[in-house]
Amino acid sequence: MKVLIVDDSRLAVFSLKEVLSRIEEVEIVGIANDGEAGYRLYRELEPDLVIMDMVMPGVSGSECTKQIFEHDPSAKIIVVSGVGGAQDKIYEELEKGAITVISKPFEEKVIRNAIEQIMK
Amino acid sequence: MRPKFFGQYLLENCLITKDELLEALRFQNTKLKRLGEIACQKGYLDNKKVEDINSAQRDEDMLFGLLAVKMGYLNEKQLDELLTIQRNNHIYLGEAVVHKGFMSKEALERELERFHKEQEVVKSVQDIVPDDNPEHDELIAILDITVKILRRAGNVLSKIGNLETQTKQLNNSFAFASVKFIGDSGFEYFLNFPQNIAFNISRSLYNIPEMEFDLETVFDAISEFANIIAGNVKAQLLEYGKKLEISPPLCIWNEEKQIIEIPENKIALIFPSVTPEGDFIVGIIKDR
Repeated sequence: MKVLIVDDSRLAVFSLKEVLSRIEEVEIVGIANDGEAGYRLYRELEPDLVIMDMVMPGVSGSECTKQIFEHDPSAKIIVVSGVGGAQDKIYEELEKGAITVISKPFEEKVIRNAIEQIMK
Repeated sequence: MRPKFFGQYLLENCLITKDELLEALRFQNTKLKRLGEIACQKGYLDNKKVEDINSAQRDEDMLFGLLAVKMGYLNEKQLDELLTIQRNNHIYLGEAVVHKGFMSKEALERELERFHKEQEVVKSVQDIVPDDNPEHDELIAILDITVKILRRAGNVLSKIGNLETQTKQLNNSFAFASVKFIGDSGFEYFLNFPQNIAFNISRSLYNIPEMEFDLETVFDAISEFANIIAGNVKAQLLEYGKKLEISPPLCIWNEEKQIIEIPENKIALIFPSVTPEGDFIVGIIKDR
């Protein structure tokens, strides 16, 4: 499974890389630090899954998610965000088509569970 | 992590699926009486005024009730009454989940107990903020969530000190992280950590002991930490009916800026706080 990470936090990216490296079926194909690069890399790399942060400078994760779904309605996106706790935001992202919304700082098992569900 | 929304708790713990959550939320919405509908029943608004408010909402990002007051269609007392009626007729997400057969009543009660235990406001925080403080809700949410996230994600036990005010400037002890809140209230949330606490938080945040922490990574981690707290504060304030957006976080190193200037028209409300490893400051900068 080809994964694209879109997150402006180096630490979050490092941690996601660590977690994903322990899942055999996963290959990280790209990392973007903002929504603009995220959308560009999505079109270039055609990943099977995107792990998307919400609050980023420039184009936000929410906007990037919208652009990706407009381009590819079958895209698989997991939203991983510090603003995950707001009910309206979660509802909005899930309605847009996100697979799930995970709060930061995430636990490894929560990321694993979400990816396992997608691979099923 | 401690999500504010019960639905997310259920989702993250694989207790229901995304489709089940969306179905339960839709069912919950069908049972929710709109504020405009209740206001019409009470005779406070008519259909024309409800339409006016809905149409104004397209240009102004405000909750229906607050906008109705702003437009002079409702007074504060009427809005409180309508919100109480709405709350009393509201069905909870948990009830919707059980009604739809996605969980048993017993399982729901067990999970709600766990969830609510995590949600309780830290008692010492409630004593620190006076009830009549104009930013009471904001400060309670900020302090409560700061203490909890420091403990859960930063592995730091902290005690928040009493409120002090500061004008002109703040000393930056090492890492000064801030996030701006814009919307129903406007302020800048900040945290100021000394070096050892900043490094400790960075190491604990994602539990990656193998990572080498240089200064740049620590500032990135402290920004991320402030962002997580702000996101949770935003969610909490939405539950109090306050709709706010947050800016991406900023973190300033003391070698870059030893003094943080406070503009003349602003004031800092600061809470000097202690941990076993040292002291730090949490607070907000707001209009005078």
